[in-house]
Amino acid sequence: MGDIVNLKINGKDYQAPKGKLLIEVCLENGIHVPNFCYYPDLTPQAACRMCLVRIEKMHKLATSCTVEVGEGMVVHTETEELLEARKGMLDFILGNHPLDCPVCDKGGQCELQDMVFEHGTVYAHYNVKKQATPEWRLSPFIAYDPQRCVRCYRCIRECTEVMDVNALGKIFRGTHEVIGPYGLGMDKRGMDKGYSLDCEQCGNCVEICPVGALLSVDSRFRSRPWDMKETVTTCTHCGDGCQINLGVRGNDYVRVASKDMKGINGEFLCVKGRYGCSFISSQERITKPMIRRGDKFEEVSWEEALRFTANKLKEISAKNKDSVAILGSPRLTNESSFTLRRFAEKGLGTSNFGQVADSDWDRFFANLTAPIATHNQVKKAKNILMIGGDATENHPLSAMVIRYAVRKHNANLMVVNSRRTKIARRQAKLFLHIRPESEAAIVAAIFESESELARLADLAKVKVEQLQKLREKVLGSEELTIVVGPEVQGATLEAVAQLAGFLNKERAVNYLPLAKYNNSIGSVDMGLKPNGHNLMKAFGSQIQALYLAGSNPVEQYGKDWENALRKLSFLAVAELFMTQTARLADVVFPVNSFAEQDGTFTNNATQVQRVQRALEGAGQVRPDWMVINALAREMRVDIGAKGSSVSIFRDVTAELASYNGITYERIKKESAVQTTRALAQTKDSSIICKDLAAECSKINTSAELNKTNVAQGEGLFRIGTMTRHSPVMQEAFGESKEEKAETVNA
Amino acid sequence: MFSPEIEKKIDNTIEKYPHKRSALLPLIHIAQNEQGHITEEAIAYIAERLDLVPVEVYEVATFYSMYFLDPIGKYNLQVCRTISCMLCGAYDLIEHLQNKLNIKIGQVTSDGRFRLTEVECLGSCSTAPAMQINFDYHENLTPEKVDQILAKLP
Amino acid sequence: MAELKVLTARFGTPNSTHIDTYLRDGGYKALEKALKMTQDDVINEVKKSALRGRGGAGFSAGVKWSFVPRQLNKPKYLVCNADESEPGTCKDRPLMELDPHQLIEGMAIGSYALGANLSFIYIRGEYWYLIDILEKAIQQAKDRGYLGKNILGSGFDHNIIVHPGAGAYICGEETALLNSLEGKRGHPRIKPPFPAVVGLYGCPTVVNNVETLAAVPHIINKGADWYRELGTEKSGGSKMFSLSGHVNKPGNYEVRMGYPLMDLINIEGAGMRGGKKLKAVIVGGSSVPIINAEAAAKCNLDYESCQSVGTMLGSGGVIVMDETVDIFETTFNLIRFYNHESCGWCTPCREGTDWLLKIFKKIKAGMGEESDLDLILKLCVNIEGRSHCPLGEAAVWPITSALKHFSDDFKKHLRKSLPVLTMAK
Repeated sequence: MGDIVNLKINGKDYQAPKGKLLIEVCLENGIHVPNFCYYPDLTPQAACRMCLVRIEKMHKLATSCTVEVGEGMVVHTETEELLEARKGMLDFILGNHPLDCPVCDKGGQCELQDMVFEHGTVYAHYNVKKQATPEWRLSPFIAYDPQRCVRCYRCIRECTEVMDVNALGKIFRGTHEVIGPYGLGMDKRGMDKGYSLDCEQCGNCVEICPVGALLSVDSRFRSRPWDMKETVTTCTHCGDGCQINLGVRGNDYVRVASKDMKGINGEFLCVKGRYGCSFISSQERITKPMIRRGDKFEEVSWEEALRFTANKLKEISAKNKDSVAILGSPRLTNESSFTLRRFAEKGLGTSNFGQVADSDWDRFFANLTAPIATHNQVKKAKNILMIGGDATENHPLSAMVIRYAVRKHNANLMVVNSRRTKIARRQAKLFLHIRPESEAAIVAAIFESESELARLADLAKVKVEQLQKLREKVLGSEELTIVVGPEVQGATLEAVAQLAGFLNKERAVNYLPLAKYNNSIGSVDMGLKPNGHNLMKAFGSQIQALYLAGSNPVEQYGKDWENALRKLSFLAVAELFMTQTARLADVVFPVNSFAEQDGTFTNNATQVQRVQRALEGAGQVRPDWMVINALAREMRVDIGAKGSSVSIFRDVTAELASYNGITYERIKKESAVQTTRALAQTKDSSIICKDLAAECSKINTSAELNKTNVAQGEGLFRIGTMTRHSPVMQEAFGESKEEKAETVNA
Repeated sequence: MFSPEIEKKIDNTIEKYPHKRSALLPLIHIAQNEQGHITEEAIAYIAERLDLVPVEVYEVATFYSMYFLDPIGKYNLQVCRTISCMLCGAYDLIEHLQNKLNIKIGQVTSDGRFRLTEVECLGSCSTAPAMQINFDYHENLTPEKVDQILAKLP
Repeated sequence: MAELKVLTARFGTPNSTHIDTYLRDGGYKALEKALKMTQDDVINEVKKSALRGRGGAGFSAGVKWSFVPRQLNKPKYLVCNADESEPGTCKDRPLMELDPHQLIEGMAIGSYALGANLSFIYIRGEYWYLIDILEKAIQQAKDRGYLGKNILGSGFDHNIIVHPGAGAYICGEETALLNSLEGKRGHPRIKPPFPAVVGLYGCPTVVNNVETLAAVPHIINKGADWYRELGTEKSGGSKMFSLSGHVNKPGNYEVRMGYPLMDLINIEGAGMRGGKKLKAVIVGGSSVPIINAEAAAKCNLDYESCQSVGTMLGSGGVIVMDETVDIFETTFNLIRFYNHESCGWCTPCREGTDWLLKIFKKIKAGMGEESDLDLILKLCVNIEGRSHCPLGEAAVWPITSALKHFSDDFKKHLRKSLPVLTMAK
């Protein structure tokens, strides 16, 4: 931008960067200019004609959403002429608009309503018949009422530009024009044939629709906006940690929204975040503690469940402290994870504690040689090296910011992946399609001397020229953002963490680890190492009792876990639902979902964000940390238990250097507060090369390339422990009733 | 999905343009001329040939009035209804055709032979009134002349 | 002075579309001459000729060419707008049908001046039969070295692609045309940037009407002054007019700029059909204000004179209406046209033309009231100057002018008096 220009708006002087859109200058300076089709970051349209302004020396009114400010520009936004023009435009828009506000879900949050209200009298002299059009159900999630549509095309641009999904288009012409997916209005492909919106179902089009034309099916007719209590909290579905606005009516989930949100994700959400949170109000939640009696579970009081568990743990622990294990999960809050670890260390004195997860993020942070990038920083990245990971399917916000960097300033994106991911196919400037599990070879190619390239290219089954190009780009970039996928593990992950140190120190390098779960990183920070799979091997031998919180390894990892869990003499499970794992337990504790408790999650950008109580848990559910505290009390052991999440978090920040100085108040103010990581020493590259060589030797050189494209929904639409209980997700992507019964009752 | 000859024509059309998306309108014409109207298969085929998604083809196919998503009969009678033709008797002509074929505007005769439509200005203003049967112009029309033309159609 | 034969000189020639006859009649001499001139000289010559865009807007062709940043390291394109769809206008059709080489030569000269190596003829899909004629002519020109690589040893390469539209009036608007040519819906683009800087595929592009380009060889051959002097000081040259409606001899006539409208009707058109009285004329295609007989008597066919009687020269589609015509009906016909052809992009045009059409239908059904006429005018105010492209204005001008000059024709359709409600006893 650089140059600053002077301009006059409504008689007052302003300065703005040359070339900035006039409407943005106006809005940023508090000058209200009504608009529909203008939307930040989307390409200008000049379609709705609401933002007309008078610019002196121009013979017609100008759309402020397309005019770039220039030196000496004199602008009027509030003249009689403009007021008339806007009223005239509202007249046109309201003309065929159904005015069914009383039954419109958008009523009360509708930009058209607001605008009409603001302009006072509109003429409303539309004295001819309105054209009624039927409503279309575009997908299990989204409905479209064309008559309400104001043709601002925000939805189409969101889908095309921001999401790169391209599922919506303009259909027909002129007065008959509607927006919709392929096939809409085609007789032969009518909606009666089923849904035709083939997309990621993110619902961002619904969110930015200014009126009630695009609607979320799951919350239709459930609540008026003003009847709802909305709470900003952090999504629980992946490591990105989007901020969501959870709407609750009475004590029931209504919807998740993101309009006008200012958190790390702005208004962006994915299908799971937007439509996958209704599990919290599922009738299938466990609401009372249960103890196994033979084949059956019997609901008992908390006192009884706790006493029973305390006695069992004391009894087994008495022989050998290490025979009791504690396993948390990357889903629990920092506060609960911290309390679990304290309970293990201080209460039980066992060294066998950690979490069920398959990642090595502890090793990554131990070797980290550059800061972690926030999603906002990734948006501005010039060079991105993405090793592993399928952000589109598993980290939708990360995918969005990477796409943003490519779309807005043509970032040089280099992708190394064993799968043909969407980002690799559509955004990457360079795509190294590698042999499965051969990331080590590519990483080694950066550390090793050039003479090794041919051999390493062969190992990963990529062209040596491609590998050469990648190496040159990585070694030659002044700025580099390294995105690391969850399949990068062990020594390879350590080497990636060391890469920044290996590169010239002068360069600006940062990392974005694609940690899988909502609190993968926080739970590791709290001291729960991802060692569950190791501990599992000792079940029934060194380990006889297990307290398992928030994990369902039987469904996730299968038979091995089931067999191992069966060997234990005592299993306690804290869960939301009666999962396959919980079914093996001796005692089951009903716990709060993320929406029913206060706390914090630490996302993959190592930012701490708040989890806030949006509703009361049904029945007798408690937060995980509270269960542990009660258990410790019952066992008469002192773990320094604190009685509220805020005081536990104070202990966290006192104990962990990287969390120093973070408070709930500060998070409230800043929405997300990034932790500060101590950087590791850079190791000698010969050591790294040696470790990588060992990893390379494990590569199965007979493995062929996986040539199939990652299908849309491979991760996004996968039903899991929680989404299974979200009715709309279940309807759209779920198992058949039989399948569900099988997984739940197995 | 097309004969080798048509496939060749499609290849040549795509090749002609500096950016292949430019071939979209011509390709829809080719497909429609082959199949009578635009089929779902054709949309999928064209999308694939031009690296587009089907909705991008569909957007275009529904914008232009010469593209038909439904069968249009053997002879598509497109009578110009705009001002110059109107002044020279186009409305009478339309009335005549509706009565003669016993169909309304937009309908196809039950034998699938004729479809009657009104179109906007065909660029035959000085030879009004005019109609186009498929791609052929017929001008300076009178109801009698129309009868003769229809009678001569194979 | 009667008809002038510049663009139409070869219309009667047997086999006029063949390059042999074109060359025999002195064809491609202008291209030869132009290739020996500098690009700037060609542009200046066209500027000097006072040739104004014949598609409707009447912008100086030479000035338009001079806007192209030739030094920019991007391809440049010349696009011939052959999407002739303005009601009342059918002049480009014979120019392509009867003398395609004249257009090709004009395009070659224009492309040379702009530094364009590829140009397009965007032809409306309904003119399907012309595609073949144009493509044959292009092939002949290629075979004789007037198109292709290194034209006449000048080092200049040039090719022409004929691109069919598919039925959309709006594609006559140059940026909508470019979108359509790029394989998109024909929605007009935001201006600025103008096509001369950011046009086809984001590159500098000039869009010229068929007739404009067809005039170029004559300007180069006989000089700017000769061409300019055919017409008036500000409107140079000759122009084709499509005469339609209630005249004895409708047809396309080429006359000098500034030729009296009544002469066109009475001499070329051989007078009013059936000896009826003239009621109204639309001079420049349906998008310009309609004028009454009195104004028509004062109107000469040039940009300035048309303006002085409250209308515009437009595309030169002269629609003549006799005393039997109900101007309400013709206006109804036009608003239906504009509603059908509105691309739907912007609110005032999409909703406004629909609303207007509904009111016209209501009046037609005998349900109109005096207040509906006021409402029509109010809606016109809400559209004019506020739409995304000129189609909004084009839809409005015929209505406002008709209501101004022929309000009686509207009033006679209104409901006579409100029905009196009587209470049943």
